Amino acid sequence: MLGNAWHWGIILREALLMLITMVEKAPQMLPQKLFDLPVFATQAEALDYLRGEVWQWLDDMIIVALWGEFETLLQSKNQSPVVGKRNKSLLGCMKDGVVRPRLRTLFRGLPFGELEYICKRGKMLWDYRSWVAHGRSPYKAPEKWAPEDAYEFLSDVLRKICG
Amino acid sequence: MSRLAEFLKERKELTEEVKKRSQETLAQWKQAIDVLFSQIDTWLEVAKHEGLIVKRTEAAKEITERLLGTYTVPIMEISFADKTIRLEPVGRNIVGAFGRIDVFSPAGMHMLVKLGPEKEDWYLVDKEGTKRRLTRELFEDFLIKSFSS
Repeated sequence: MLGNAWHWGIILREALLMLITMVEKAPQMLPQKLFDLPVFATQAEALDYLRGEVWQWLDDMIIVALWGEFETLLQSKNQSPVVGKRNKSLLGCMKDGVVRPRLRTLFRGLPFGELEYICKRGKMLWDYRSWVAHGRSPYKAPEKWAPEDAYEFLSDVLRKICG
Repeated sequence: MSRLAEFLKERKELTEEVKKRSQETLAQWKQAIDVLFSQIDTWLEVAKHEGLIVKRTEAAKEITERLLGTYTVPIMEISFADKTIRLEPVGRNIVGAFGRIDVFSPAGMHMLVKLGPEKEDWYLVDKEGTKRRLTRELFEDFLIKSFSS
């Protein structure tokens, strides 16, 4: 399931790369207005915008989608009440960045260091995702995440709590 | 021939082809500017007797574009009394067009964009993005509006 959000993100990245190639090779074939660019923008303006702002926007949207899929998976209705409780607790701790005693009890099989890592990294990702989802405001920008890192981290968490 | 030599030969041919095409595109673009400026100059011939000054400065601006490299273009200035309208080429590689010339006038910024490969494919675009095919009548109306501003 997490793979779905990731693969859609990759497909959109490929589409953006194709658009960049079009701007490089035959900009005259494109519509006169692209996204937020002024009408009849120069090639340099369009490349700067697509490689900068649009690329970053897409990367951020992939992160938002990955976290969304991750939450959906953890809160799935098709799981036992015990697993449901466990996942809810994990999600809460990941958003707060703190390993609560209850979480340690629920995940007895995982070493404390592992849980601490998941919660701390989870909070960093949650902060970045929230900052993006709320229009990059109003507070200071949190540490930046790349979609690749977010996908790797969330997949790793899923593997650990399922295994 | 070795595989490497064959590969290099192919790459060389490809590079030469791209270079040739870029040179053709640049020559066409420079010609398009020249034809347009000459056309405008001809349209304004009669008005020159009434004090209109049309000045064309060759190689007045340097433009750098991908594949086309760095090249120079002329700039045209049309003046009457204390008002001047300046036609300044921006580039050949334009999103949705085959070239763009910015027009700075007392009536604000406009653009002349080439929407097709033919010489009569120039359009005047206003701030709102309204496009009108460039004709002598349209250009004269534009000058009247600019000089009245």
